[in-house]
Amino acid sequence: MARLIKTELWKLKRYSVIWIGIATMLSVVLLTCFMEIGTPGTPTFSSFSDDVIWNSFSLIFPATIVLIAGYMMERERTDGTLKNIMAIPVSFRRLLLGKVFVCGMIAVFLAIVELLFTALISLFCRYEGIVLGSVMRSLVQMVGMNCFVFISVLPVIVFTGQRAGAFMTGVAFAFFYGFIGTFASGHGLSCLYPVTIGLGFINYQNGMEAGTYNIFRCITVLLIMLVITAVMLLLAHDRSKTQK
Amino acid sequence: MPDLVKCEFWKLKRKKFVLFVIFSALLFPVPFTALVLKGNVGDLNAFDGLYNMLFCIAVPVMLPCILGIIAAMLFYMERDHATLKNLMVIPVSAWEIATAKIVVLYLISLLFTCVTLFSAIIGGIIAGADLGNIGNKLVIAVITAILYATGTLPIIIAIVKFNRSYIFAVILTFFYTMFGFSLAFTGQFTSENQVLKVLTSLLPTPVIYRWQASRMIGQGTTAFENWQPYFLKLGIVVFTVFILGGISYFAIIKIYKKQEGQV
Repeated sequence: MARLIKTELWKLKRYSVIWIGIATMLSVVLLTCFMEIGTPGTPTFSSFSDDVIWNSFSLIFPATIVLIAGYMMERERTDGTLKNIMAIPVSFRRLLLGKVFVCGMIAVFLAIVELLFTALISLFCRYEGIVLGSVMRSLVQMVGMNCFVFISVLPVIVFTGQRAGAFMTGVAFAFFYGFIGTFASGHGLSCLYPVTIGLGFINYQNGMEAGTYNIFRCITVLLIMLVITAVMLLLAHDRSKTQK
Repeated sequence: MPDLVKCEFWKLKRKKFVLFVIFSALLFPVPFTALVLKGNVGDLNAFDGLYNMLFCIAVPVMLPCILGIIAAMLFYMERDHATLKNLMVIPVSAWEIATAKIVVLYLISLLFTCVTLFSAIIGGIIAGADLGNIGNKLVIAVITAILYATGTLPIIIAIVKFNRSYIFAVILTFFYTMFGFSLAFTGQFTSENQVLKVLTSLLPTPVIYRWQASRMIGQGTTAFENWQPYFLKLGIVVFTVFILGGISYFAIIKIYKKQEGQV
């Protein structure tokens, strides 16, 4: 598995997809900064960071990570390398698992990038409260949120990864899936809706009432998502139609 | 031109795109119907509430994204399969090819809003609501489809101009959609900031939203009174969106012609 992950990282070096991820993180920070202009009062670093987390999970990150994962899988088909890998032999399941691991690493990396952009924009706009403690708190929250959102979209990644040309449909679904998180959160379903369980784990408090989260429910939903993904991975095989 | 549009649909048939559009249009109605059944539409009739949510939230968020993805597929298809030179020897001009692709986007937009309306009707029936004047809602759906398809043309300039990967096109479209939606849905047009005032008076999504809100927020409510000064009439919206769309259309044709010359 370690070798598979290493080769996936080598492949990533050739793809521009990581830069697309970085551009996405920059865009979500800029979008949040822009939205702050129309909001009364000056935000602090912490409130700005909270808004970035909210916009990231609800607007762009679920679709971005599904897009990156789908692209990594699709390239094996379009470049004709999938059949070579199968002949080594590396099973489709192991290949998919390797890619899922690397996507998890990308999710963490993008959270760090997100924090860097948030800190830079905060410095540029002279938001108050940029101290080591609040920066570290934001880092933990961003990494945590990205990881939990990534786990919530894992079934989508595994499902579309098995089908040629299906990842765009997966991206559209992930976009919808993330966006609906705002409604789920607004109706007290934060701890039941997979995309928003991360809010409970990171104890997201921006405008939320204290005690909003039920950690037991969050853990249950998290475990359900992990079990679903594990079952899907166990049953995974290349379902693309090939010409014989 | 009808033959060219037909050919574009044949190409899309291979990619099962009609199914993709229908699938995307049916995503939002499911949770929104659940919200309506839970009684979260205030004093509104359940069908009207569902219809308003779908056309004020789901369509502005989903439709431009879907149109952007399909535009990338349509415009990159000829490049990926090296078919542009074959089309040129028929001869079909770049103007005709690009126009046919844009017409397809309008038809897909119409399909999306009609499926959305249909799902609202189904949701309304499930909620046991009075469906009222469906004809009026169909007209609004058609106008919304045309406005959003036209409003997506500016981002198609970038998709055609950069002529890069699908991922780039998708991310660009998502950002454009989210930017427009954030300006509209968070009520940024009520801000005193001059930059926001200009943007919310020029960009298609906030402009269309300011017309939609005037029709969908109940008269006599506090929200209606607060937002009334910012509402726009349909004529102004059509004028603004079509000016922007017209400029974008000519820019797309010019860029596509230039790319044709490089084949």
